[in-house]
Amino acid sequence: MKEKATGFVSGVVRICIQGENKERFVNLCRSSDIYIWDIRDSSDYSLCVSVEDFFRLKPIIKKTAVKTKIQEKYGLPFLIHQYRKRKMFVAGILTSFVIIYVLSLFIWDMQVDGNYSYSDYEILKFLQENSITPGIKKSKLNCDEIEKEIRNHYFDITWVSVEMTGTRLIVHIKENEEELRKEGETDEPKPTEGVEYDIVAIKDAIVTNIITRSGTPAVKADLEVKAGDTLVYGRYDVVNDSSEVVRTQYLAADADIYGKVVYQYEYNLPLNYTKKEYNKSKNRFSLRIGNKIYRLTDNKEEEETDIITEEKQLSLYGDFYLPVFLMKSTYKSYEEKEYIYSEEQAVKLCEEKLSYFLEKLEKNTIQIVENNVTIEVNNDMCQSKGTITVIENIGQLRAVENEPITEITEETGESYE
Amino acid sequence: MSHDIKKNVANTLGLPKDLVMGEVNVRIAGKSRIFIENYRYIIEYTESVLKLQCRNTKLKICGNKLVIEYYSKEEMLVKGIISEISYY
Repeated sequence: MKEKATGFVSGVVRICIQGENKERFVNLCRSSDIYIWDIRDSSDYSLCVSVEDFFRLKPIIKKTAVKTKIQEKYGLPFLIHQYRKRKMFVAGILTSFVIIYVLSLFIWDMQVDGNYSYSDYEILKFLQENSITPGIKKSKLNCDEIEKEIRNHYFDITWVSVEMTGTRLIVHIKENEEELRKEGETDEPKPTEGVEYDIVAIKDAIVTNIITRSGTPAVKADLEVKAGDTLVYGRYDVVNDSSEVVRTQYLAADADIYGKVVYQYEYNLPLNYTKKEYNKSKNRFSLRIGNKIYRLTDNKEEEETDIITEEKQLSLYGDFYLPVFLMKSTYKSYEEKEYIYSEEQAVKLCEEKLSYFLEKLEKNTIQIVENNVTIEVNNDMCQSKGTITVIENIGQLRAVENEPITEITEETGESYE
Repeated sequence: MSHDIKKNVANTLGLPKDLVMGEVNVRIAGKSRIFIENYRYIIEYTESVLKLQCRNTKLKICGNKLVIEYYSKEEMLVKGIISEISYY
């Protein structure tokens, strides 16, 4: 019945009764409105009664002259009495709950998601300038305002969503992709109308191929040009029937000019080298709260050790991050030993370096025509030296003021100056 | 005489008889439980015999390992292995 729940709160006592008038005792309890239950007659005659009523039993005991003995005690009052010397323990449990609740009111972790051309650090710094850092109270944050500010400050970011889960603040960003693509294509400034833009050689080269789309070409194939020479003029001469120049039109030249460029390549590798040889590695742990670092294990720092530290933020579960970081430092002690490359090793290393260089060139759509690099091993050095001839695009747009024209026409082969 | 008057009044008014007459109400659930209401007091109680005094009669319950689950002014519940219930 009801005694299970309320009994625990107020306390229940089981008592043994010995005497002649046990039944009378029970009847008197009933008439004085004392609720008793679980009356047994097994080894002793026992019954349960609440603590409150237990103290009212005195007159009944007197009347019936029975002997009562307390067999068992259940209930909260007895529990408290039992642990009366353990108050601090309970206080500790309560304090921990309070602390966890209070911590959950703040933000301890901020992350950015979906950013492509903006680094995490940049966006987090911007938030920091608006006084949004880890350690801020959640109630002070207004997600809509933050979204507005980010959108207003960065023109590239088209969609912002600020999410608060647990003790984490996640900023989702979507950037304007079209702008990114355009940026990757050309780095050149857009030419304005009506001004002459020539195409100028950026390197010394021998012209191999010229395809002019607009403008007047100034060079032909197999012509040697120096850096700075004009390759295509950004002007167009309007000629009347008698081959006289009527007027000139200025425009931005557009052409592909490919030329042979010679690169000097030199790389020296000394045969003696020192290498770090790692002996043992030990893991040491420490906790970081704010700017204070508490060591958990002994960190003996010896000379000549590499220390790699990883930091991890602790979380109670999922999104509930705490302002406590666990630092794991791996101490690797090393010895510097001297080694000497053998001839084959040295040659191989030089070849690898060379092929890497060539690969890089080829990535930029440059064609490699000739490779005159030799690798030699001398006394204590391995030298790789030589020339690499490539064919690449050597033209670049440049705005220019008017100059007298030097034109080469294919038909007549004359040059006017 | 008054007993008959009560009975007639209860009949005509449609009141429940056991309430008006003050009779003991015994509900037996299987072999192990008996709910008893409207009794006066316990005459005797041991593990094997329970004797109750009701208004006009006495009730005797014989069995084994009889335990009084609760015992209050309104009702009581006897649990155990019951072999005999008789009025005397």
